[in-house]
Order: sequence, then C-alpha cells, then structure tokens
Amino acid sequence: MMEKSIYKYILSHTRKDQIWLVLMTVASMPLVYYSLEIPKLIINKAIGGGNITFGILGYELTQIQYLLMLSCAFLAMVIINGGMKYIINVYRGVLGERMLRRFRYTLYTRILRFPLPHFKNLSASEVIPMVTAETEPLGGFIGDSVALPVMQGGLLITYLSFIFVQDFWLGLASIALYPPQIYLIPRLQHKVNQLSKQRVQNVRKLADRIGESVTGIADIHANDTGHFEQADISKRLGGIFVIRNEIYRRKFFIKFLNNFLAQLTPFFFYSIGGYLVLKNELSLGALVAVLAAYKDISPPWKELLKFYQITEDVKVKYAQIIEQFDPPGVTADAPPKDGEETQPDGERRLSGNIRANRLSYVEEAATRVDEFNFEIDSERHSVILSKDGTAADELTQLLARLLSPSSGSLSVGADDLHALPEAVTGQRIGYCSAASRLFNASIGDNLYYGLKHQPQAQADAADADTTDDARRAFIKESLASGNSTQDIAADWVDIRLSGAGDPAEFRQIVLDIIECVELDDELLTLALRTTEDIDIPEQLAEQIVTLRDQLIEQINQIEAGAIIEPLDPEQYIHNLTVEENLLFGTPRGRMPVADFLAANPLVKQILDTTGLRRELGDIGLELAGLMVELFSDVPDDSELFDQFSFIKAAELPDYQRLVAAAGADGAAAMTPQQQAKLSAVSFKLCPARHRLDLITPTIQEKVLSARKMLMEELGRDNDQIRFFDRNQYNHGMSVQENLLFGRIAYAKGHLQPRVTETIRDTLKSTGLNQEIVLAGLNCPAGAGGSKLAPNAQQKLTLARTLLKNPDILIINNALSGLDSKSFSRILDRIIALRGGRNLTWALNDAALLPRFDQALIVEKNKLLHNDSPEALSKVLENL
Amino acid sequence: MTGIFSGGFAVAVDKEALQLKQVPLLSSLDGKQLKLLAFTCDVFDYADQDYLFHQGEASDCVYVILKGVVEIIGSDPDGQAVLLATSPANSLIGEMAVLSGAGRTASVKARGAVTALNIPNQRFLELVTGNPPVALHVLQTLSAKLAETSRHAADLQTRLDRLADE
Repeated sequence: MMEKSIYKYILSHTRKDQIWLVLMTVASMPLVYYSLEIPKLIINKAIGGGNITFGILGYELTQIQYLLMLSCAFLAMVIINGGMKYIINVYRGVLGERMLRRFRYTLYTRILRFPLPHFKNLSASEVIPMVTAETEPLGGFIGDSVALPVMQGGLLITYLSFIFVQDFWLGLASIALYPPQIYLIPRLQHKVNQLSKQRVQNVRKLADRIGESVTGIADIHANDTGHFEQADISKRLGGIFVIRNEIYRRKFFIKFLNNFLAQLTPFFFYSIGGYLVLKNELSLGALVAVLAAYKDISPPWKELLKFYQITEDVKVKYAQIIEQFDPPGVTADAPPKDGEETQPDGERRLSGNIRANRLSYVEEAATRVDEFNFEIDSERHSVILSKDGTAADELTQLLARLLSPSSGSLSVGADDLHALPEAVTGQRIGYCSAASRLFNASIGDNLYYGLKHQPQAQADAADADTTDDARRAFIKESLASGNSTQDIAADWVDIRLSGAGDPAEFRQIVLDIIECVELDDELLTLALRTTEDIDIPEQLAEQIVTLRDQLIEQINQIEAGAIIEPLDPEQYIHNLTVEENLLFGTPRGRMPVADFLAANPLVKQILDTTGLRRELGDIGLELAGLMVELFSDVPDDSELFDQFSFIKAAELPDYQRLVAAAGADGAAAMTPQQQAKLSAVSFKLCPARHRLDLITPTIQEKVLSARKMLMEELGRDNDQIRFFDRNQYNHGMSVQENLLFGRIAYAKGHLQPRVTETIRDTLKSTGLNQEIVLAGLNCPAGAGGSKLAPNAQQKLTLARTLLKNPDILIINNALSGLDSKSFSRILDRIIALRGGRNLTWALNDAALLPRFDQALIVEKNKLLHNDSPEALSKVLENL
Repeated sequence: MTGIFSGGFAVAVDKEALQLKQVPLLSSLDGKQLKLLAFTCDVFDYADQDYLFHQGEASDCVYVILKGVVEIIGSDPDGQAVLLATSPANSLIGEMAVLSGAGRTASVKARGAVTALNIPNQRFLELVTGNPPVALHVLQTLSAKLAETSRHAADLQTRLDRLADE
C-alpha cells in the first residue's frame, strides 16, 4: 500500500533529512540576525559615533580600525550567510529530487504489479503524465514541507512575542484578523482544491484523447473526421479554460482578501494606537516600534498562507495520483527487489501434467471461462480449438498465469500454478500471442528478452573495487531513493536458460530457432542492406573482404559486360556522384557526405587550389538552369523533387535568380558564396544515373587529384573519413556494398534481383550467411518492432518465446498474419522442436487438429470436448 | 548563360526527349514534358536474350525501346513459347498491363542489344490522366486493338461454323 497522505509519505522516507533541514535553518537564523545587526553597528557606532577608541578582546582599536573590522565582519557574514543558504537550498533540492525519483520509481513499480485486466481500462497517455508531469511539483514541495513552516512560524512567533511585550492590546490588535483569515481561507481554498482536482482529471482526459488521435491517425484521415476530433479537443480545452479561469479568480480573491486584511491591521494601529497615544495611555515610541514589528510579521504570515495554498494543491495532486495506482487486486507477487534470488531454486523446473479443476474466470460480471475440468499432458502436444476465439484468450492467459482464476484451481504437477512466484512462472512458462509486443531495441535484444531475468555479471555491484566512481555514485544514490541498483549495462542474457552450455551452443540454438520460424531471410536482407552500424565482428569483416573477388566473378557470369563498377582509387567512378568521387570513402560519425564536404575546411582548401570550385560552379550553373527549366512547373510537393531534382522546391526561385543573373563568365564572376551554392548542386551529379555528359575528362582528372590530395593530407588512418580500400572492410557502408565493393551500374539496374540472388547463393555456399544473419540481430527493431514487417514481428515474438526453452509452451493464435502454407510449415517445425515436451496451441482451424495429441474444444465460455488422441478422430468426424 | 540550349551538354536528355517524341502515344507532349520524363526515368541496357519481363509477372513499369528490337513471346496451350511479334525502336511496351492493373500478358526479351527507358507505373498513369491527348491516344489504340480482336474472333467463329457443317 502507498501512504495515503503526502506528509506520511514524506516523513516515512525523509524524517532524518527533514530534522537536519530544520536544524540547519534554525542554526542559520542567528547569522541572519547578525547580518542585519552589523550594519546598524556600523552606522550608529563606527560612522555616527564620536571619535573614540574601542576595546575589543583586550585590543585598542581606533575608529577607522573599528570601522574596517566591522566592515570585514559584515563581509564575512554575507559570505557565511550566502554559503549557508546555498547549502540549505542544495540540500532541499537534492532531497526533493530524491523523493521525486523514489515516488516515480514506486509508481512505475506499481504499474508492473497491476493485474492484467486493469490495463483494459487504463490508457498509457493518461498514466504517462501522472508519472512524469504531475509528480513534478511534488519534488519542489518536499524540500520545503517541514523547514519552511517551522522557519516562518518561528519568525512569526518571535515578532509577535515582541509586539505583545510592547503592548498586550496592540499585540491583540495585530492578530485580531487572524481568526477570520483562518476561518475563511480554508473554505475558499476548499473550492479551489475541488477545481484543481477537476482540472487534473480534464487534463488527463485530454492527454488520453491526444494519444488516441496519434495512434488512430490513419483512421482519422481515412474517415475525414478531423473536424470532429478538433471539435472534441476544442471542447476539452474550453473546459480546462473555464476551470482554470475559475481557479484564478478564486485564488486571486484569496490573495486580495489576504492583502486587504493585512492592510486593515495598520488601520487599527493608526486609529486605536493613535487614540491611545493621544490619551497618553501609550508612548509614541512604543507605537512606532509596534508598527515596525508589524512590518516584519507581515512577510512570514504571507509566506505561511502561500505555503498553505501550495500544500493544499500538492495534497490534492498526490491523492489524485496515488488513487490511480492502487487498483484492486494489485498482484501480491511484487517484482523482485534487488539481489533477491529469482533463479528458480537451483534449476527449478515445472514438471507434471497441468490440471484444471472447475477452473472459472469472471471479468466484469461476465463468465469468460466456466468451470473447466481438464488435464494437459506435460510431454505431449495439445490444441485449444475455439472457432470464435472466445475463451481461448482467457484460458491461455490463465495457463500462462497472466490471469488469476476467479474460482477453481489450476496446478502443474504438485504445485498450484497461481501460488508459484513470477520468477518461476515467468522463466519456465512461455507465452506468445498475436498481441505480444516487441520493444524499441535491437532485434537481438528482443530475441533474448526472455533470458534477461538478472544481470549475469553482477559481481561488480557488490565488489566496490572493480566499479568506477560513477557507478558507485549511482548505486549510492539509487539506494538513497529506493531505486534498483542493478546495472542495465551489464550482460543480462542468461544463455543457460535456452539450454545452451556455452556461447557456441547458444549461437547454434539461436540460428536454429531463427530458421524454425523462417526469420533468416528477413534478417539476411536487413543485415545486407542497412547502412546503420550493426557491429560487424572483425572476423566476419575479414571474411567479407576476402569474398569480394569470388563474388564479382560470380556476378560477372550473369552477363558479359560490367555489371559492377569497382571502387578503384585510380579511376573516376561513373556510377558515383561527384561528391562521392571526391570523398572516396564514408565520413565517420555517419554524417551525410554533402554535409561533411560543406563543413570541412581541408576540402574547401583543396577545391580552391585545384580550381575545382569554379569549374564545378560552372557545371552547377548549367545544372541549375536545367533544373529550373524542368522543375519550374512541377508542384512543390511532388515526389519528383525529392527523387530527382538537384535543388529543393523551396530553393528553386533562388537558383532561378542566380541563373538569370549569370553573365558570359559564368561562375567565375560570382561571389564565393554563390560559387559554393552552385558547386553544391554539381556535387549531386552522377553521370551514369543522370545521363548528362557534364563531367569532362579534364574535370575527372581534377576530381581524381583532389581525391589524392585529400587522402595524402588526411592519411589512410584518420578520424574523419574511412576511405574505400579493397583490402579493408568499410564500416560506413552496408554489408552488401562491402561485399560488392563497387556500384551496380545504373544501366544494369534491371539485373539487381539477380545480383542479390547471386550474393545470397555465394553467402550460402561459403556458410557466411549465418554469420550475417546473426549480425542482422543488431539491427534496430523500431518502436514496437515497427521497422520489421508485421509477419516478421510475429515471428520474432514467437522466436523469443521458443528461445526461453520453457517447460510449458503456450501459443495463443500467434502468427495470425501468415499465409496458411508458411504457418503450416512453421507449426510442423515447432511440433518437431518440442518433441517430448509440452506444447499448447490455441487455434481456430479444425483442419490442424490431427497434428496434435490432445484437443480441448471450446465454444463461448464452455469446454465442449477434452479428448485423448484416440477420441480425437471421432471428434473430427463430428466436426 | 544559355547553356542548356546552346552548350550541348544535356545532349543525352535532349536526345532521349527527341526520341520520345517519336513514340506515337507521347507525341502530343511538349518538349519540356518529354525532357522531364526522360530525366526522371531510368534507362537500362539489355544484352541479347535478356528478358525485360516475363509473362504473369506483376507490372511495375512501361518501357520505351530506345535502341534495338524486342521479341514479344506468348505461350501456346501446351505451354510452349511462341513468338507473337517483334517491336522496333520507339515502340511502347507493357502499357496494357499497367492500365488494366493485371499481370504481364506476354514475355518480352531483347533481340540483340537493347536500350529501354523505364517509366514507372505511377508516372505513366499521371501522364495519361494529366494529358487529354495522351488519354485519347490510349483510347484510340485500345479501340483499334479491340476492333482487331473482334474481327479475329468473328473470323474464328466463321471457321468453327464451317468445320461444324462439314
């Protein structure tokens, strides 16, 4: 349970810190007092006093010395006071941030413990701002929560005591209006609290609707409901506006009331105090002193009122957050705390048949699973057949212990399934459905996801000597705010869970599973094509380089003539652009070639010394003229611009002016900026692709010598460019480009499929394809796996489940997107893979029944048949 | 600076544009449109006996033969390849499949070295829908083909009837 009030929460975690803060605050008060006192001394005694000497600690000081001493003391006070304030502020800030970290972590941990059905009514767009934005003001408040009222209250009492000592009745007068304030303000504030509650709810709904619009954007366009959605958002924003408006008016009314009452007190002083003075019942000096004291009590009182308002606001926010994080049925089985042993006790496995006894599941008053009795053989293959898909979802989730039975029992061997800790069920049961999600990490990280229960190399967390300072600081700080201290950067993959004894065996298991679900082709294509850095291992890189000659030989057998133009440093490459020819390599840091050339001072210098800038400027001018001619009538948003134009649509008018203004001397007569602009256009020219004979042999020579100068100037091994080198792997190019080490001639573009085929065949014949498939695992999967085709996403989730090598494997209509032939092939392979082990597959195709040993046939919420292999054929006849 | 008109550097594009002008379907387009078309399309060199496409494949583009001759090959009821026709330079190949959205109705391969311009589906459809004369030409060509097919069918029917009578 979470603490119901924010003060309980604060005190249960920061009691000691709060005491420290109060002590420091109190300790700093004399300093504040002295920093006010010393100036008075300086003016009254050191400057305004008579010319006398002062005796301090037995020393005689002249007036000047006394003045200097006091001034220095003042300076010291200022420094000490400022330092003290700094320390207190930092302490307060750190305390607040630490609590904020703890609070957010607690909330996140609660989310992990929500019962699954709760997520049906929960929107991510509502929960996210609760954990991120709504918690934010709490952090600032926590540092102030105790120290501020103590300090301001202390000041107030001090000043009040002073006034009371001066005159009891005036003291009374100065607090006369406190009772109405104390009575009125909470009542006014109460309404503000209710409004801010509403506001929070409305903002959450707004976030939810915006989130829905983002996920459903295609449907909004497809149905032309933009206006409808806009009207909805407008209504919600309007609602928030009205509430905020009301809050402002009430808040400022409270402020007005406070100010008014604060000014009303001096009215009493002037009138009553003045009357008393005139009646000689009070001395004028006392009245003046009281007025001065009153000026002092006003700020702390205001501060206290302000603090009261903030406290109320934060209390509401806190209560509103935690009530959302306390749904009924939060799983008792919390995710493990740090260091808790989550390995199944030694090598704990689930064994024995799965038995359901009057198993029922009720959700929102509807019985989804109605008193099922069955036994599933732990060593055989069962199918759950449900034509309409109902009950199968709930049943498989019950079997995977994702749902808890409403009544009845479910056991594995001697164990009650729902009494087992998640550390056992999560590791020994595999569950995969069409709704299984991928995470925004590499494909490999997704594949290994089921093996990441605890960091494998945890020694460093315990052994302080081997960890660096940053890590130690992280652990210390994490402990201070109750966060996990486990190292996310550690190796979490426990290969033993997959059944592998060593990395070589693991590699083979991974490859087998990838082939089993037919993901190898997809991964090979990805690995060949991606230009992102996928960490090609050194050995593989060498093998790829060695394969280059053989591959080119194979490709040249497709057809006589040059299909691939090799990247020869001595030649101008007609299938590369001018800029690629010039650079003849890939910029490190994955910078686009054009950006690199434009920003590099050495390139600028080379372009100038070779005179290339001017000549390329001339070519650019001609190209710009052609672009203006060809594209001036093309609509700005046409794809043609993106694909073919050397000049962006928005820049076309600029170039049009340049072309129009050009004289007979062409680029030579232009400013360096204009020349640069024009030569940038020529950089994009690729003679073979654009079929424009603009790059004359003379220019080719110049580009070649510029290329040489760049290479000589930078040297082979430099930190700017990876030059193309026949004998070296270039990590800035894709694997395929590295294999070909040349460009497919544009005129031979139609042979691309056959080249790809040849590459695949060659890789297969040399066995290198497996290595490259594994390298493909380093490709990013994208958010929710979006970089993979939907089918590949489903295959990957299935592969992830298979790799866990679970004792119980439950597959709930996964691979729904596959065609029936591929599905059937993969099904057969998985059946073979799981020989002698449990496999429970929920399907809706009766034709697949004969492949299983046992069938549970479900309709609506009833179990119709639970049949052994012998009876299966009869059931089939009846269907 | 009037390079593009006088300099002669853009010869390839200009030349291709001139050649596209010879293609009946495209003859109504103006020089600038043809130039843009030439500039934004790929040109492939096919070796002797290379297939441009195979019967039954999905169609993704229309070809204009710039150089050489292509053979159009169908299959008889036994699945044997039959030479249906040849097409010389300046002919448009594969437009039927693109317009109907169906697969290729015949295979096309190079007889000797062939150079062909490759107009992607989308570009071709834009040309047809954006230029009434081109659309009209497509209609005329198709009507002519339909008329010929009808005549052919009638001819066959007559022969069939005669056979039945015998």
